[in-house]
Amino acid sequence: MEGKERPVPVPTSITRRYWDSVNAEALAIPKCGDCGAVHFYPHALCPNCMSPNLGYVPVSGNGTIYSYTIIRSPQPAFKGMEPYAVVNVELDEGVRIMANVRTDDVEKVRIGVRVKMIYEQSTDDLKIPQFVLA
Amino acid sequence: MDREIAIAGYYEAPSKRKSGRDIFDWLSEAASGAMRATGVEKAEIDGLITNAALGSGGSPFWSILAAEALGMSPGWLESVDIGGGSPVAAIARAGAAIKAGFAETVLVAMADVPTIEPKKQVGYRVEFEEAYGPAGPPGLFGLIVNRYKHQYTDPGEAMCKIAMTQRRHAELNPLALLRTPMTREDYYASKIIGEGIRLLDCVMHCDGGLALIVTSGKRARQLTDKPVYLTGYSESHNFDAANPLPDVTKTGFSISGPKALAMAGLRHDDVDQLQPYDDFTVALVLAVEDLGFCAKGEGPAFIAATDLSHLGKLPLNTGGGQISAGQPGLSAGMIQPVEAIRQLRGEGGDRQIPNPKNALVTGIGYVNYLRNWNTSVAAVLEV
Repeated sequence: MEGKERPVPVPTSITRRYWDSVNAEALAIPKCGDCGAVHFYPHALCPNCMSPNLGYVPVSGNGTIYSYTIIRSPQPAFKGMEPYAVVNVELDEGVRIMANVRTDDVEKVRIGVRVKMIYEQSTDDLKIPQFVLA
Repeated sequence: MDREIAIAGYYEAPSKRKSGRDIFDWLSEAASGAMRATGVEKAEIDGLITNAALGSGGSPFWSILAAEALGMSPGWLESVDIGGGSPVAAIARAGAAIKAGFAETVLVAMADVPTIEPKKQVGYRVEFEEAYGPAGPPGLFGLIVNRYKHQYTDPGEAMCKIAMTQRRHAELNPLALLRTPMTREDYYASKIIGEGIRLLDCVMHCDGGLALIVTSGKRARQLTDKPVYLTGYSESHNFDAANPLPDVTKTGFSISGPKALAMAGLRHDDVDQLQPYDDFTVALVLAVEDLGFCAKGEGPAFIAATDLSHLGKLPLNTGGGQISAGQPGLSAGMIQPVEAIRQLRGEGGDRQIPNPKNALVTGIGYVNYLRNWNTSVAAVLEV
């Protein structure tokens, strides 16, 4: 976190299926096969009923900004990118996800604004979800 | 709650930025300071409890290493790992061990050295947060501030008043690191980290250590004529965990605050001092609401209307809080109970509250993924 290099996600036994869906540009979220609850980020058990019977359902990539901040004094790895938007996006499928909104005008990043998911190459073999204004 | 869990005395080491001192150097100073302050001999201490620290290197043997560093052979040993809530929680855990008969005299010793050994976040944070550069906790709290502003009202003026009130208290506290007077203009001129959070809303890391002695009421009354009692206590963790769409402006203090006060038999109007964990000024806006001093969304109006100075109606973080005193990593949560105890013993010096009988003290730990903080610890201390 304090270093000069941007942190890169490393999939785990719990999250690999999610990252596979991101790399396939078809992001899917965990949904409980027993109680039907969706959640994010991916857990090994349903946070609602603790069932291990989790499936993955694809999302539309459409969502609404639930909250945001515009980073003006970043940590070293993100120096030079400021100002940039960090957002809490509520996907239409009922979970929230953190990402950036890629835009030239961060002033347009506000609560209630509609956004659309894009996929950004993080490393040669890993993509991460991001958003643009819809 | 009865008066069976007591604090016999305390010690706060003068914090320092980039001290270069080993974490056990700080822990040793804190431990011996508390023993000197109470006259408790090493042989009498039969319990030791410390905090998992940012500067601990993530050691799974932390309390063992602490006992070894202090040359102690306790009969009860524990390390608390609930972030900034750990020190207040450690007082309660020590008290529970005493009431259970596992120990009678517990050294609660906290230290951390975050400015010389910054530690990387581990686990899901790298996968789901850090790749987006949220600038650490300031950015995460920025998400909370902006949502609060959207749902209720702009908390900016309240945050400014909190920062200025606490700085004024720090001016009166020789142990505080940030003692330069702060004006409203200074606050609004301080740089924005992430929209919603200015530099003067944030804590500053430092190295430090604090400790106190928890013992039975009977033993405390032998050791000191100014024992302080833990009379109410409650914790809430991972608030609203099963909800995929939580209200990020609500915290676990809505559960633990009223419970702790009820246990002590106190109403909000009875509270003589509020010493709430302050990693960010907005945390106090949320805390006064969720602890029940006012309704949700009315924190800014409550703060505007209330004299929060040490001579006011609800004295707030009378030592300057962590924001003006400095935050010695995960031992910083001890700043609040130590200041409360100092005031209850009439040792507040130039910032002494007139004759306080009780204090509401809190601890906060961690920020969950796109939620509010994880841990909300509330305690009532009384003379």
